[in-house]
Formats: sequence, C-alpha cells, structure tokens
Amino acid sequence: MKRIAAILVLLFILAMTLNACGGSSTSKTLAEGSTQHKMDSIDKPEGEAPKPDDKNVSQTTKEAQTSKAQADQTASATKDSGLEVVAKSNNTVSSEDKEALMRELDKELDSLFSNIDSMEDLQDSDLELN
Amino acid sequence: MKKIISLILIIGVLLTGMVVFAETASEADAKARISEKLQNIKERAAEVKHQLEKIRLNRAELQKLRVEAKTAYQKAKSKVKELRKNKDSLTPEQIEELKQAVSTIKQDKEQLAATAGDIHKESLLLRAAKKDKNIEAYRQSLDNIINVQSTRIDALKKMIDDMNKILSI
Repeated sequence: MKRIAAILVLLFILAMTLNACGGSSTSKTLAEGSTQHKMDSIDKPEGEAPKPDDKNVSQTTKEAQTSKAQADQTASATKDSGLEVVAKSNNTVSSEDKEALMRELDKELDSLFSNIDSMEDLQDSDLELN
Repeated sequence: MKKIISLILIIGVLLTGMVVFAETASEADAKARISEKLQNIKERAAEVKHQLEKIRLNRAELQKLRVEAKTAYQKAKSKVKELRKNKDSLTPEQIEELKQAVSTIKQDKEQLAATAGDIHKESLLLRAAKKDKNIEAYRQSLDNIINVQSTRIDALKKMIDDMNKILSI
C-alpha cells in the first residue's frame, strides 16, 4: 500500500513538473507570436487597404494603431523627460569651406574676365581689300 | 612664164590673208580669256567683300558683348562680395548653386581659351595670302576668322548669362 502511495506521489510530482515546464513554454511561444504580429503590423504602410482574404487584417490594423499610440506615448514621454534628439546631417558646411568656395568663385570670375579682356582682334588694315 | 608668176602671186596673197586671219582669231581668243578671268576675279572679289563685311559685323558684335560681359562681371563680383559678408547665413541650396556657378565659369573659361591666338594666326595667313595675291588662301583665312568669331560670340553670350545667374543666388 505504501508502495502504491509512493508511486502515486511520484507520478503526481512528475505530472506537476511536466505541467509547469509545458506552461512556461506555451507562454513564451505566445509572447513570440505577439511580437511577430506587432512587427508585421509596423512593416505595413498605414494607408494600405486591408486585403479581403486576409483574416488577420483587422487585428493587424488594431495592433498597428496600438503600436503607433505606444510610439507617440514614448515620444511624449521623451519630451516630458526633457531629452532632445538632435539630428545631424552631412550637409553642414563649415565657415572655412564657405569662405574657400567664395574665394574660388571670385578667382574664377577674375580669370574669366582676364581671358575676355585679352581676346585678340584683327587690325583694320587686315580688313582692307587693297 | 607668165603663168608661173601669176600662180606665185596668188599663193602669196592667199598666205598673207591666212596669216592676218590667224592673228585676228588668236587676239579675239586671248581677249575672251582675259575677260573670263576678269569676271572670275570680280565674282571672287564680291565674295571676299561679303566675307569682309561679315567679319566687320562680327567684330562690332564682339565689342558690344565685351562691354556687356564687363558689366556682368562687375555685378557678379559685387554679389559674391555681398554673399561673402553674409556667408554664415547661406542656405545649403545657395551653397549648391555657388558650387554649380564655379563649375560653369570654369567651363566658360576653357571654351574661350580654346580660341586664344586663332585670330592672330589667321591674320598672319591673311597677310601672306594678300602679299602672294593668292585669292583662294585669302578667302580660306577669312572663312576661318568668321568661324572663330562665331565661336567667341556664342561663348561670350553664354558667359554673360552664367554671370547674370550668380546675381539670383
């Protein structure tokens, strides 16, 4: 009798352990699926019309809206917290570069005018027939 | 004897007539040839006159364009000076336009430089042709001068346009 009870207890412990392991794995899979859904919904453009044959269209749209709302919240949170994002582009030209550009243009204009001024011409005697 | 004398006389008369006729014919032929040559020279002279007239007109236009180019140059220089003063307030678009202007002015300069010395070279050939009375060489030189002038007229017009574009930066 004691033996049967011990086996039953062991079986119970085993069943509980298996149950516990299985539950954690399922919740992880669900979480991954949800993330994937969110990723998919972000990838889709906002204005894109849902396809009639897509079953998850409305769900995806809702998730996209939620994710957008979350992004907005994050942005406002960033603003509230006093953080600022400074976007730097490569188009910035330093003052020295601007000066160099102006100097080059000035020099080219002088050089061009000098060429115009030094254009040679015919003598009047060359245009007389006799 | 009388027969022989009269035969000799007839032959003499005939020979004299033939010589006179031949001289008259060659004279007329030479006159025709001279007149043809004169006509040819007159036609060529008319063509040369036309070419000389075209060169004079081009010269006047080039002088006018030079004056315009000088004005455009002075205005462009003033604009660059003004932009240089306020260089810190230049927008990226203005900087891009300035870079474009530098590139265009360089091209214009090269185009004009390509004709440098051409007129001088042709004027020397022209004088040599005149001295040698070589009408063909003379006409050829005049044609070459007209071509150089036309290239310069087009180049100067483009330069004036390009310099005026700097004013709108």
